[in-house]
Amino acid sequence: MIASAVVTLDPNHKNFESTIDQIGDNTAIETGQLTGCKLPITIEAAIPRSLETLTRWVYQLDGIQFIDIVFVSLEDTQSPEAA
Amino acid sequence: MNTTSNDRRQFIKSSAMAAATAIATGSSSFALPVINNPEQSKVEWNKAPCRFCGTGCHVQVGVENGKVVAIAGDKNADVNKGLLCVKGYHVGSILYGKDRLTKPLLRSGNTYKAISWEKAIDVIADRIEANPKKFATYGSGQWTIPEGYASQKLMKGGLSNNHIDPNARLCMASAVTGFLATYGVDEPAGCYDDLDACDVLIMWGNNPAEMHPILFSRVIDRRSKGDSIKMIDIGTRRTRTTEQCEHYLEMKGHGDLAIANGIAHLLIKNKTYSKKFVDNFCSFKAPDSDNPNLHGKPITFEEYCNAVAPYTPEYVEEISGVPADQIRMLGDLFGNPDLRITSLWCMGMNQHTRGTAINSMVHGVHLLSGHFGRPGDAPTSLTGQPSACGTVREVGTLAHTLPGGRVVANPDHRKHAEEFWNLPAGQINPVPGYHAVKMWEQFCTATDQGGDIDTIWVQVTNPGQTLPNLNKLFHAKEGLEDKFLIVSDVYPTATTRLADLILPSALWVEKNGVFGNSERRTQQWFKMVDPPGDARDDAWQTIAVAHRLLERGFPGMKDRDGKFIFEFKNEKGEPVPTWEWDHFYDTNVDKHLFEEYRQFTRLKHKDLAPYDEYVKARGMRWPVVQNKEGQWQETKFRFSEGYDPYVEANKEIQFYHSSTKDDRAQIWFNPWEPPAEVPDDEYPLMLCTGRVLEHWHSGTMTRRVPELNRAMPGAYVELNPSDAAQHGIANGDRVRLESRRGSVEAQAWIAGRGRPPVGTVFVPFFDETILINDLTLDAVDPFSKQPDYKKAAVRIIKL
Repeated sequence: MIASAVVTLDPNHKNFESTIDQIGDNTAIETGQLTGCKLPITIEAAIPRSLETLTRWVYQLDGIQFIDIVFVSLEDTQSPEAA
Repeated sequence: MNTTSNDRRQFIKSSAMAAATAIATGSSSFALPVINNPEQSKVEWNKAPCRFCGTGCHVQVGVENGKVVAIAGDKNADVNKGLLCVKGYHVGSILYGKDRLTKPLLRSGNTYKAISWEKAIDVIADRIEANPKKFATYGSGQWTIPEGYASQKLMKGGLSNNHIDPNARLCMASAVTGFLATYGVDEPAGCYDDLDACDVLIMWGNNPAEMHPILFSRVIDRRSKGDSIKMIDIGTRRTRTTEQCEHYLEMKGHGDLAIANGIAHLLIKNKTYSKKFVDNFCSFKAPDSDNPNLHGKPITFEEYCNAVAPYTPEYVEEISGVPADQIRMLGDLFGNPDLRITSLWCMGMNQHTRGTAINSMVHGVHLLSGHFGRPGDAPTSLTGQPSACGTVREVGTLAHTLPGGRVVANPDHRKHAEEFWNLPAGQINPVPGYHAVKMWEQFCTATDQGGDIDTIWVQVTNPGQTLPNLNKLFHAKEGLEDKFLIVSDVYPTATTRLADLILPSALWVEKNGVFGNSERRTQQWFKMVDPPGDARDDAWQTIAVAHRLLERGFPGMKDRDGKFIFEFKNEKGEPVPTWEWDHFYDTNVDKHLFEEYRQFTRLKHKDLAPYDEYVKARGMRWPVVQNKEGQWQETKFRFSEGYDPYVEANKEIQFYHSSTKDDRAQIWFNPWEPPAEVPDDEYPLMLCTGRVLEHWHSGTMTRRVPELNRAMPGAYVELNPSDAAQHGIANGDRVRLESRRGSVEAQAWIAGRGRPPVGTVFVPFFDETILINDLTLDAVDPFSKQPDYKKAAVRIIKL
């Protein structure tokens, strides 16, 4: 399962660069070209729940203002379970 | 992984990155991933609005081999500009839960047996024939516009029965009455463009960071580009929205009534109200205590000033809990004509036993200060469901309304509907039906004790979880043998547990549809995949029942010319037997229903364009009017000259549906009143209920998505550390929460995501194993009949 997202960084945050490094160090995430405060990323996961977990992990990092989803490939997705 | 699949994975990944990069750089020149490469993909893409909230984001849906395989934000959509919230990961997956309902099921003792659709339609027709006046329909703001319209026509037109009401009664009825009381016509004048232009954004009991994330992201995006926007959160608990706000004004329940009066008091005391706006465009109103009604009694400006005079910042602090300095700060902001101020609200102001009053009063502070009608100056309510505006407010599926802003009590409005539907004069019943709470109360009351509703057909909603005071309004159905509950849904729910007949429905892109979002935007989509098993469209179910009644000679199913009320013709002019499932898609039933409905929309200037225009667009905001060149143009800002085609030249602002018939809006005074139930020695805590980011509404779709369910597996009791210490409760302890109406058990979460203040607890309602609505209050606003889910007195016990 593959997704892409746009991360909005806080321009006033002191550790702007280190936050980007932290994201880039995660092997499931690939970072693209930073434009202003916008960082495009792709997230790849073997199982679907990891996409959600990784997104939330990015969101809680210092200096992140928001994360918006752009694209989701559902190929290889497991069927949702009975609640 | 072999080379081919590896290549494909890499291709999808690079396409995904290209899409995100294009969005990040603001470029509009990217193709959807894998759309233009038939050698690597057979994915076919088409547009649809998201199935979840009322924001109305557009998605592109990728289908391959009859299955949704990809979702992308739609870069051509004004609402979301290519972005999606975290629920976008799952909007495709909701179709594929393992326990989708696929066969009609009829209760037989304690079990269900699968039956044919023929039999199911017969069962419903039997119930209607036996007691047509005791039959009711309970629908939803998740109905598509054609579905709601069809059900409305069957009930009010065909059966002469107004007992049809939607779950939207529970979420935005007070917004409707607030707009009607103020402007004489429903729905916001502003739109999401206000978020791009405002200097100050005030959220009144609203948490868009979690509930309408794309709108919140739109504002945050402006900040990241260097715009200065002051954000203010007025609420009863801290949320993720609070984290981004400069000011958090923590109020007690119903404190908003005092705050609005406090702002008005300061505008008048400081002479910073807009004399020009008030003199030219406004009148004043107060409640009529001798004859309580939505339009109250007129008062003079002097009487209004005297009414708000007691609401000094200090008095407002005393009753609302918000410090006087913060009230002054709000007064100064509204008193500054150079600022653009947008107010947003949703359930916090609507689920309120004074909901009509507070809605009117927030409109009032905008009108009094002149913060209205310019981009960025707007009081705007949001909705929680994708078509609460389109299907409920515009189609008029409330118990007292008819399509296009009409009401059943008005003879002219009934006549219009009878003309449009070609029905005999007098067929529409002039007496409003039961509103949601009353409908379920009558259903759950034994027939020999006056319970005069014996059958309810529920479509696209889950009242067994979402009604207030469930023990009284839902669970009491159990054991009432002559009562019969029909539920059309896609998954088993808390409601299907008590159902006598369960009908499997098609979901989202398994059918054609049209939604209407929070900013008056009408959005169309086409069916893209087949529903599973024998699941079928809700509109088909309605038409099939109507035709079965016709076959049986039931009066009302024929129009004046003796034709079936749902007769649709193909391009050759031949009637299509759409009541037979195999022929339902021989013609576009949605288009027929929409075009018929469209005739209703002009009376209140909510004009819609022809169906085919919506096929081309990513939605359009009504009124949609044809210009001189023949193009259909939407309206961003109602009542404002230069934007709204119905405002006359040189009027500047014209409230052309004014209840006082003079083009003026009404500025209301309403006194502060305490909540219907307040904490006391026996029940010392105030309970607030609501939603969480991971789950949408009652969780029937999102709880089937494993990653969402794992992220937020169950409801919890969120409480303040001081209250926890007082009761000896540690994080994760099991606790029981009790009100005068019921109890639930759950884990405690101390100082969790929402951080409620001392004396309050919060419990989300998405979890059908922890039915928090067993505890909530069924007291309603006197005008909107909407219950208050935000204020119920409870006590907590450590287990």
